[in-house]
Amino acid sequence: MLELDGVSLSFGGVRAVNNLSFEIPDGQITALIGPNGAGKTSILNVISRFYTPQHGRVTFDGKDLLQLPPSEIIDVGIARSFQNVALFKELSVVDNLKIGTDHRSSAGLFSNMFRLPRAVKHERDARREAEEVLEFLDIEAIAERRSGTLSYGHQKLVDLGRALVSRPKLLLLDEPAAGTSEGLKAWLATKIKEIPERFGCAVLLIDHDMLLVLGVSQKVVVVDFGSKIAQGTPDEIRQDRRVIAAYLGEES
Amino acid sequence: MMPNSVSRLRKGHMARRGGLAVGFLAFALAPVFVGSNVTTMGILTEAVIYALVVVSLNLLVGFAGLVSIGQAGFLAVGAYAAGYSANHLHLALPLELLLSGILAGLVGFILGLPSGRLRGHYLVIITLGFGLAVPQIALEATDITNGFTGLSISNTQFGPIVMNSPRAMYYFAFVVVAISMMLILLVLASKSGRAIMAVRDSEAAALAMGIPVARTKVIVFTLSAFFCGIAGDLFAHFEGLVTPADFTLALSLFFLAAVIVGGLGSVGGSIVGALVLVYVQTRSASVGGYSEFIIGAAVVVVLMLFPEGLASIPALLGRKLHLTRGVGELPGPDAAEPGEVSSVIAGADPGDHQGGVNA
Ligand SMILES: Nc1ncnc2c1ncn2[C@@H]1O[C@H](COP(=O)(O)OP(=O)(O)O)[C@@H](O)[C@H]1O
Ligand SMILES: [Mg+2]
Repeated sequence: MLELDGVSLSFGGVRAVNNLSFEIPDGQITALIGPNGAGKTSILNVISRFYTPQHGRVTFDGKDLLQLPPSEIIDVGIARSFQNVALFKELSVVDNLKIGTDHRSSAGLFSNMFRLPRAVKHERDARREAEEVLEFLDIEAIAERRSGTLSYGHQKLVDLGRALVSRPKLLLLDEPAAGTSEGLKAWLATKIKEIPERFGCAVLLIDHDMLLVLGVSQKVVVVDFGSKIAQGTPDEIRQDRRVIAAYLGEES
Repeated sequence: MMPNSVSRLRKGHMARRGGLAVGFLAFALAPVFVGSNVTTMGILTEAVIYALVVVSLNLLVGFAGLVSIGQAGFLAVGAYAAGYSANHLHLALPLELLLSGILAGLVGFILGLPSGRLRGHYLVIITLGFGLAVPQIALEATDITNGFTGLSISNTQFGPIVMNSPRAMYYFAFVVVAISMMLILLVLASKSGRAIMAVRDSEAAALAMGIPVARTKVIVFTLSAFFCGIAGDLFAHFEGLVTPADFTLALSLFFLAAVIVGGLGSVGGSIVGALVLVYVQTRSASVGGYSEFIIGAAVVVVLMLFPEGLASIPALLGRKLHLTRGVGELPGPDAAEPGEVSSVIAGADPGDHQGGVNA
């Protein structure tokens, strides 16, 4: 479905992504793991077109993503969350989620101003779909709260929900559980595991938390210093020497 | 949990609608109480027209996060369009209003084009330059604007209805402003409004959600200028004479002050802000020469008491009276049992766990 082929990205002298190739298969959870600074977020930013790589190709269902501006990525079916949450913080939780549905509405300013039928229909659909996702994430109770006033854990959930409600074919999650309580982390792991079946999409799950990742994914790609150092099933990765070394290296 | 949340949604909407209805009625009935006083009717009419200007400016500054200090320029475009129409085109009033809005909107569109790329300071300079240039252009383009002397509008008529009393002029302004505000509120409560506020809060997230950031900014400029142009048309009819001297930098700053006093990103706040500042201006006009000083002092006092503007008062009151829920008592997944999901992460050696906190 999504294919990275020989992607390299540098910032000045820093090589954030180094000749990286991997594939994200349909309907599964693919994990992208690696120590801090390994280039995980940079890869996600390449896929969502925030960064343009100097080399390589990125295709999605055969489409060349590098030809598209960032604002059209969601239309091909790729939605993302943000590592440090990027909510519309003055807006309510439900409005944040509605924005996740808005790209599907063809209603323009005029239709919206005069509440023409297609605008009315979209408002109704947007609310219903937002409520479904709120329920899935168990945050209906904070639907009307201003999102900027929420706890960090709730903000992470809203960030995830906003991407999920867009009905993507591929959901990119950048450390969805980072900085949250152990309880929420574990709960979130079960929820992420449910996503492919319930929402019919593939997930690229970034984390440097091995425990979370190996438990929920079917495929794991490990990066360090921008390069792929291993790839395989969670069981294979658990036994991989280089992975263990990379992780021990980070710990010391 | 569903019914609970739904009822809370309804409560919020009803409070907002209630506030709107009360405001609408207060303005609709005001002439019943003060209609016999010509001066008061004039002040009220001015306040209603300014309220639309302030709301239009709030679209830019408060809702879109785009600073503009040249709003009087859009007002001028609308006012001159009205004067020109009345003297040369003799359009029906609704058409004339629409034309004034469209002309100002076009100017806003052009001014908004660079705003997609420019930020903060540059935008301030551009809008400042625009605000200062418009009266100069009006002074020079004598063929259209009649230069220093200005354009006069002798009567305001819609079909058989002649707006020949202060009360009739007030209702004319009130109806046009009320319709405009309603359209603005409808936009804000739609996909278009959400896009505008999304761009303000996070451009990165807006892009990721498929919102064309630069285009959205141009749209806000156009929309703001359109409604400000309509206010300019009303202004021309209300004043009866449009001259370059009407559209000063001080007037633009007065509108900006009203936006901030009322509260960024609040339509109701802008209406109140316009009312309050028009009132202060009128009162202080009698203390000759100190008017601007007194308005400035009023702005400072309000902001010291209510840093987020007058619109924040209901929320502050609500918190005092414990009408809103505290943060700590929210239900939700934070309360989930860590143990109940151990199966998900089963198989991994707990020793692998690296304390993944990276906040
Ligand atoms: N916008 C940027 N400008 C400069 N350097 C960057 C930028 N984004 C990432 N980097 C660098 O790229 C490397 C990889 O970072 P990142 O992708 O955030 O890693 P990870 O998400 O795996 O922790 C780091 O050395 C980081 O400093
Ligand atoms: Mg990262």
